[in-house]
Amino acid sequence: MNAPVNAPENQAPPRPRTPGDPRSALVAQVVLAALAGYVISQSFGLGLWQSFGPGAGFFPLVLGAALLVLSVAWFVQSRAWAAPAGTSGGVDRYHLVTVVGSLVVLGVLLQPLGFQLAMFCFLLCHLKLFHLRRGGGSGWITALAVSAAGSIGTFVLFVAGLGVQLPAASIPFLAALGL
Amino acid sequence: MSMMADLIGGFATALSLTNLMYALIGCVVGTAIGVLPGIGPVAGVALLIPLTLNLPPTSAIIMLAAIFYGSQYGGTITSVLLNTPGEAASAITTIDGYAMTKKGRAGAALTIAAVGSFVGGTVATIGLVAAAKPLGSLGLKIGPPEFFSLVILGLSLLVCLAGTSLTKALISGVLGLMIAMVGIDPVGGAPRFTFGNEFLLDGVSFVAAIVGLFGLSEILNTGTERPGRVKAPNLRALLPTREEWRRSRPAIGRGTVLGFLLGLIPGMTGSVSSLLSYGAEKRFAKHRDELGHGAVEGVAGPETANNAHANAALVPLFTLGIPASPTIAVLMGAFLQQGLTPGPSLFTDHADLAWGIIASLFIGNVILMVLNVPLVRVWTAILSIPPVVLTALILVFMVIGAYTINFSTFDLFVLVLFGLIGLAMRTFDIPLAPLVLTLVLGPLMERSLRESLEISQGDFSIFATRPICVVLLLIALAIACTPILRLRRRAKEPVQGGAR
Repeated sequence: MNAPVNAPENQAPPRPRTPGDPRSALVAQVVLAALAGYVISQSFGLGLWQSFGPGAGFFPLVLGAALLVLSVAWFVQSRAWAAPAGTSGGVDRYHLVTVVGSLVVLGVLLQPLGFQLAMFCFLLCHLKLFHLRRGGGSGWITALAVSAAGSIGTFVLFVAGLGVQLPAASIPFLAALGL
Repeated sequence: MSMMADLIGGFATALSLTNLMYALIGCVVGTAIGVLPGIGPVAGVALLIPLTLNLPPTSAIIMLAAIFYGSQYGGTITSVLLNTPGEAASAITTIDGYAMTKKGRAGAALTIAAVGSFVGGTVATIGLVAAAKPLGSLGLKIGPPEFFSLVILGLSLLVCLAGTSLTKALISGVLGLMIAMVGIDPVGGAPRFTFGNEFLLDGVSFVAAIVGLFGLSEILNTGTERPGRVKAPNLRALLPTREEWRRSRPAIGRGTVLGFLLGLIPGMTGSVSSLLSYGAEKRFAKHRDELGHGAVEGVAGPETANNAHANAALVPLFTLGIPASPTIAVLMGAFLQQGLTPGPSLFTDHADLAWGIIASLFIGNVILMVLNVPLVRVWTAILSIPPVVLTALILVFMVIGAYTINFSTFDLFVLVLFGLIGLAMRTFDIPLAPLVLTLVLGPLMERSLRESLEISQGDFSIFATRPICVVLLLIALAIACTPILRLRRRAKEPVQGGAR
């Protein structure tokens, strides 16, 4: 008796699937190819060969070419073994934006405000504000205690205990307060 | 000086009060890192490099090495108590470890894991001592061409770190080499890919990049998931029964041999050792039918194997300068940060330091066994800290780690950028390990190649006329060809099947 067309024994064996949805994988492949193109174009200006072997641009040229070939190979493989749309892993976008955004703001404010104040605000935002939407925020006492320990506590530990300098405030008013 | 005298000298260094204290701190911090979900040993060691910046090189490396092997033990605690491995090598322990917890034998499982780890780690360190002198004597014969060949051998291991796709592993490796090219060209002195930014003249900060790739990307990827509730065993329950001791002895023996031998093979991960050790127990254990239902052999074998593996993996680093795994690559980065190049010359140029670190491995194994079993309640208490607080505190250490390497806020932006790159790589299933390997080895490769060619006045045959180079390059070629051989074998299989 013939097995039905959709019977498991008549189906092709499962193929490896490319994680991430195909469109974002394509964006990644294009970005890699563009990076490779940039590196190749810059490598010529650095000098490819000197009297005793490779110049400063030789390795970048080889690596750029390799990356270009590999990104094309990835593109071909992902076309051959394409995953259905919408299979990308669920990264929490709110969490991603708050963590990345707050780190960038911290990077900007670290020198003017000094480590203690900037880190205190950073921690307080993380513990009290950013998780409220998801109901995971800490109580005020915990948030204040952890923020103080993570900012002033670590400052004292590193500067006084380990002799590692952390930035002090460059704004005169704050510097005068010992921040 | 004889090997014994060297080792005794090493113990004198390692047993100084200062170094003993750093070994202790390293073991405690390492165990905590192993326990914490979301921060693996790679990011953990990288994150704590700044803590060691002002320390003497010996103390710094002793502490970082202790963090490395301490994290191996920490992963066991969550595997046994929570059914959640703190790191990959302890994953297999969850099967029988957690089953023992359900039977009320968690304490015994943790004690036997600690004893097995101690035995495996100590035997592997003895192996390191035995290998150090003969391989270290090679140091006198190592010039730039031989060093270049060693680096190529290290880079060939990239194929062993490929997960499901060799293409993606190579993309990761090439990206690491490209990042390593940023900064002043090591021979000509011209700036490359610095975009006129003075902060990039010394290259991309290694610590900021590694912490971003492994630590920040993990936080971005997993968010603040809450681990399950855990109940620590009481002190009396920590003691295994006589029967449990008797049954675990052969498993510890098998795990030691397997873990040590596999640890010597660069590119082999600790998870392979623990998996194969579990397989060996399934085959050879007297009570193999109980495996999977809380058999003590299922904890003793894999835990011994992964610790023997971790210590044995230091053999290629110390003797040949080859980082066998991503964590070892970060440890190698810490050596370089201290102005030391691991490899054969370490035993000739910095013998005191090398033997001091080796001696500290013995001491660290004792510290881990003595401290960790009674302190199991403290480690499990870490897991009751709310994840929001834990994540915030880990971020503080990431910021400090990134900042203090160059005392520059620019490195915070590097941290964020690499966090996003790491997240993208995880999303597309591009392995992170090859990037770390090439990031560390890339500059060494370029410098040694160009120095070699200066010696030979541009003649590439220098690599074919020196016996050590030829041997090393042939081994590298053989390793690099393994995926092609594997593909050929796979391609043949359906044909044979069809003929049948």
